Amino acid sequence: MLLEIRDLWVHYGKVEAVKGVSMALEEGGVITLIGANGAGKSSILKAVSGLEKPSRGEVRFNGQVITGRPAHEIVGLGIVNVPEGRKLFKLMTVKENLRIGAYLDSDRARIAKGIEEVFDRFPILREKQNQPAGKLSGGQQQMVAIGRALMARPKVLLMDEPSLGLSPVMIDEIAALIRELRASGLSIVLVEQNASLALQLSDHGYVLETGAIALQGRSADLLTDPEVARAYLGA
Amino acid sequence: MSDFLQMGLTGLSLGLMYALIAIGLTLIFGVMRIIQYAHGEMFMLGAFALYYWHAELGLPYWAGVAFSAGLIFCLGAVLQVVLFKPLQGKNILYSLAVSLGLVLIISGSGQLLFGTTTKGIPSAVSGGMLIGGAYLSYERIVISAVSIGLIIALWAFLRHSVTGFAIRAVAEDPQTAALQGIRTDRIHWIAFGIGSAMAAIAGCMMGTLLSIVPTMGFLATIKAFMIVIMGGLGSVIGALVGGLILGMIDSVITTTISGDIAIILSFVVIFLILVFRPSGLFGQNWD
Repeated sequence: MLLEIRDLWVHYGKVEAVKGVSMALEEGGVITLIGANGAGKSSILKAVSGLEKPSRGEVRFNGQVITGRPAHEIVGLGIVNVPEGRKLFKLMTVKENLRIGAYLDSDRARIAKGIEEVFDRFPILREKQNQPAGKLSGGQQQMVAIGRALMARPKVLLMDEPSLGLSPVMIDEIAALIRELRASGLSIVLVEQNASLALQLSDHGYVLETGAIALQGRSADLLTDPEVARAYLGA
Repeated sequence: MSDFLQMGLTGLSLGLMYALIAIGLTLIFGVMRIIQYAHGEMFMLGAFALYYWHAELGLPYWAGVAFSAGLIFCLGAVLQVVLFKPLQGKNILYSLAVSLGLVLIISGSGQLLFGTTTKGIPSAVSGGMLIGGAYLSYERIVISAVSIGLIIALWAFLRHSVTGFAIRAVAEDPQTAALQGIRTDRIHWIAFGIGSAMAAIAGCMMGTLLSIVPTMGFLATIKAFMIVIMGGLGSVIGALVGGLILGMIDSVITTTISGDIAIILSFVVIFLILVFRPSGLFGQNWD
């Protein structure tokens, strides 16, 4: 297993946000966490990324325990987070945002090549490279956020609500991109409220309810599960 | 005409000195969101570092400025790690109390160690030139040029170096900065050190152009706060423009009317700026 979470607990003060969650991601795979707002999805990603200290349980990467390591070290291992709400550096330019994604890289040639690759992927960003990131549209900001994460040359991408607040056209584009990234061999943990989209993009799904896994299985099976359909797919 | 040239140069050199202190303060606030009341004490200690180096020991002037900046950089970095880092993320009142305590400790010890008499630092550059009846001293010109160079260097560092990127990223969003692999704790002491060193260099200007006493830090802090609020919290450009405005008011009004009126007028100008632009000239909204 590339990434493994075992019996993970996260507390905010006395509030239990994550209650004994276990999940696994294979190399090259895509897993998704779906569930309502406040079900604990983001808290799990934050715990993996080192932004929250789990109160119990462990996170393993390539078999090595990485629980409780600081965020900047986790990035160095190749686990990169695309945070909810993009969280761009709004006062910095698009290009500077991309550059800072490769903060731990000291190979200038590789950084320049990475920026070119992002521009090739999202040509609109090449045009807007010198504009402050805060001035871009929501969809373009999501491109910068994903581009910034790719600059770190990730092994695992943690994507927190990438479709949130985007237009249907833009959601299709992001979905196509996630398929492309997967085809290029990247492993992805996708957190989404848009359950049907997330299940179409992933191999395995975990349904979270109030901090615990209520249901899990192959995404194709979850898509046709009547209970999932009623609660999350709006059917 | 000649008066204006002279007042202009005095105002410029004063304004740049204010700007250096204020840029340091705004950098520390921007990155750490703490109010560093003892910033003026860094200014004072920087001035005395050069005084002992150059006036007492007779060592070379410019090396002394570098020594002062380096010493106060280290002091700022150590203060950050030892005193402010443990309070990071806690109620802002704790760091406020610590920095106020530092003011008392440092200015009190300064009076004991350095004495309470006014001191001056002999010039590195002598002579001057006459332009249209105005005497412009080379010392003021050189010092102004050097401080402009420093401000440009800092600006370029923040705009173009990887560490500068990291400082700006941490100022905007520390958590997301950590997600890029930035060690925010390291950026904190670096920014604190740089900010303190800027104040130290301003102290060197003060000792050379005017005179110094161990109690001068307090007024420097107040002026720096006025400038930072006028320019916009966290904005380097705002601190530069605000510093120059205050320097010009000080120079022109003190020469033509009186020093008291200059102080009153400074507050009137700041008041008016804040009425029309509540977050300052170049302020962003910090949420």
